[in-house]
Amino acid sequence: MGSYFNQTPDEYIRMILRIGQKDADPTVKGLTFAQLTHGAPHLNMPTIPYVPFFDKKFPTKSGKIEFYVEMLVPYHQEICDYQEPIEATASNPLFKKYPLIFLSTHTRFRTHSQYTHLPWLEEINNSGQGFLEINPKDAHDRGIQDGDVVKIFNDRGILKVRARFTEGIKPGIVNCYQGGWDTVRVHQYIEGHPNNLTHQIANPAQSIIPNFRSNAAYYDCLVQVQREDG
Amino acid sequence: MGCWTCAVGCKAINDEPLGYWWNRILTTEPNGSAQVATSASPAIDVPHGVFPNLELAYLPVACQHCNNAPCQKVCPVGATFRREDGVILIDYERCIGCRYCLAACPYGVRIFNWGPGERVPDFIIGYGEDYRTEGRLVFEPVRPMGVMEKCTLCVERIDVGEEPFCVAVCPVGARVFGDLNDPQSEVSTLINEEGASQLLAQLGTDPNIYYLPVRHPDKVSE
Ligand code: SF4
Ligand code: SF4
Repeated sequence: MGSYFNQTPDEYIRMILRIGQKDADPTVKGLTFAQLTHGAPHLNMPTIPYVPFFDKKFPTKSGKIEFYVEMLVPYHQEICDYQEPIEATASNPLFKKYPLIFLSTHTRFRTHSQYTHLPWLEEINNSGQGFLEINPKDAHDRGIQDGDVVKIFNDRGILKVRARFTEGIKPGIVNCYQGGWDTVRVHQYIEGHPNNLTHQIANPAQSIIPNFRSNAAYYDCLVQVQREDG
Repeated sequence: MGCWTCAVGCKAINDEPLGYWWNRILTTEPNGSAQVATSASPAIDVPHGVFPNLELAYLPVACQHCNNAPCQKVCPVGATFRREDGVILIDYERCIGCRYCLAACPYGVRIFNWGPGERVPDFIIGYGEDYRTEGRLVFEPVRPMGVMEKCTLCVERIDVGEEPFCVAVCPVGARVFGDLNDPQSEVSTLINEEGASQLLAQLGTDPNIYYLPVRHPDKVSE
């Protein structure tokens, strides 16, 4: 370990928190290392645990929790209500060409794209290789066997991975975990990437909500799947 | 809940090389007879049944510390031995690498050091020291080539009154450690009250690891 960390743990703690220095970490400002390591000094921390909205102040126009949001009237989204997806619905003419709904859900073995290529986690999670969860019924309709390389595609792009049969997914829906890498060194998909398939149409209503970033609906995605030879 | 925290914790504290898992989590049917796979886990999280009537459970498998341990019986040099408290251990100074025990163990939990093993990170982590019990060398931070290794039930920890590391790190308390000889202990009480079973009990290995039944198998339906 010495070749990686050549100072003592105490030295690193001093360094990271900049204890005793002008620009010390706010939690230890005004405290010395001796005070912190002997006895029980009071860190500069709030005395109550952090609870979101503890002060009951909400960044809304009314200052309250709003079930009816006046400012969203122009977008017809002033109350929570079902809205047809932009794309992934049977009434979309595109559904004939791309009859499967593509999900890119989260795996518990990474956080988005973080930790994706940690060797231990790769060993647990299919050697780090992305795969397509598909119901055997959908697969048989397409002549796909468990473990075959499949191409998932729509007008936006393609993704190639191996198929994994699972009854855990409803016929009509397929899933490939999001967050995998396709970089110079790390290739977790045979070709392409799940986000080659998804659209980036943001919900315009989100853009005017304070403290809220606009985002696309990644599950709103139609695809077709076919077997790849080789 | 199949998070693999216990397996990763085990790998960290025992510094198991890449490809080695003393502890694995198999995906099974609730209360079904477990199939014991040999690789880390080729396809985890695939439920049993036909959509939407699905069932799924997780089965953590490490050494079962059998009372009637086939691995111990076949060992020609007495390297695999059973401590008085029931823990099955391997004496690295005696193991000759014949691998009889590997074939004899019906649970596929023994791993042979064919080579030096590749470790990530490449410095020693975990216990980091040799450990002896009854004078016998039962843990080395880097196991030598040509010996067998497997779960030691964290003898380093249980000998000082701590629980095995997998028990300590399980975020949901799915693992319980204790004294089976004490009818009042938590493990004995749970086994008696909930009706636990041993893995592949029909083989007569009489493991000291018990599995509690899945209490409320949730059924998915439309
Ligand atoms: S599970 Fe295998 S290695 Fe462990 S005691 Fe039983 S036979 Fe031996
Ligand atoms: S036993 Fe605990 S730590 Fe291990 S997989 Fe199950 S929930 Fe996770």
